[in-house]
Amino acid sequence: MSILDVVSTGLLVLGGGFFLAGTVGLLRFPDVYTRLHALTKADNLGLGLIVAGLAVQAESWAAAGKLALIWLLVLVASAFACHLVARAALRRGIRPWT
Amino acid sequence: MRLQGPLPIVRTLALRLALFSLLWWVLTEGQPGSWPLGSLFVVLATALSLALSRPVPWSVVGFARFVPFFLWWSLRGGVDVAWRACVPTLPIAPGILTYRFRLPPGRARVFMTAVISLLPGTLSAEIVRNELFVHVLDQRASSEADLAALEDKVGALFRVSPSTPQSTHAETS
Repeated sequence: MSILDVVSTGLLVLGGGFFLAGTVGLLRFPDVYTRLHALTKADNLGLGLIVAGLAVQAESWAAAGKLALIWLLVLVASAFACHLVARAALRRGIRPWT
Repeated sequence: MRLQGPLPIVRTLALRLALFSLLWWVLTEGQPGSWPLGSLFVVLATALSLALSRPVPWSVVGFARFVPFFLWWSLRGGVDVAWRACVPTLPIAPGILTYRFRLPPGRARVFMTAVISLLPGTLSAEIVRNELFVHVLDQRASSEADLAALEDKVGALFRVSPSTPQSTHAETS
């Protein structure tokens, strides 16, 4: 295995770990708001690490750019989706767990 | 700096042409044969974007400062929530925090609202007039100071000054 493979594998495994932690949070956290925290933040970082791990192996700069673009689009979607879900929950009168 | 003053349309045009060209290059993975068609779509996309959205004032320096800040805080946010989710005692103390915007309504506010949800322990839940309701994962953390720091960074990025006097000084740098 070359150094690139090692770096890439490390990033991918770490990224997968954050997805796993996000899912653990989804299952363990008590209400919709805290679960949103787990999903948006852990998955944002997990996907970022996976994209970085794949970009290291990319055949061209353009392919790496495409991966970065995917990460950016997911970030935008998850930030706004998270806000909308939280707002809808608040407007329906779901009280945050304390 | 020469970026001061109203944003000239020429600069916006050049920037958007460059951005859409970059996008086409990325999407086609740099195939040279795609450019005759690509340049047509780059021009069309630029024209459409100018029709839909007027030039946005932003600062290159503000952007260069915002990107590492955002990446570092994303990392912290992910590590923080992953840690809290996996510790057996579940160390969370959630609650709602009301934050009064210093930024004027508009792009900068929308941008800040979106970014908050990706930062450590905060999630933007609702906006009522000038107040933002932020759900925090841990009330013991100093989220308010973090939000103010973020607001200054976003203000610098969009070249608007948050309204309190002491922050306008940091704005001009």
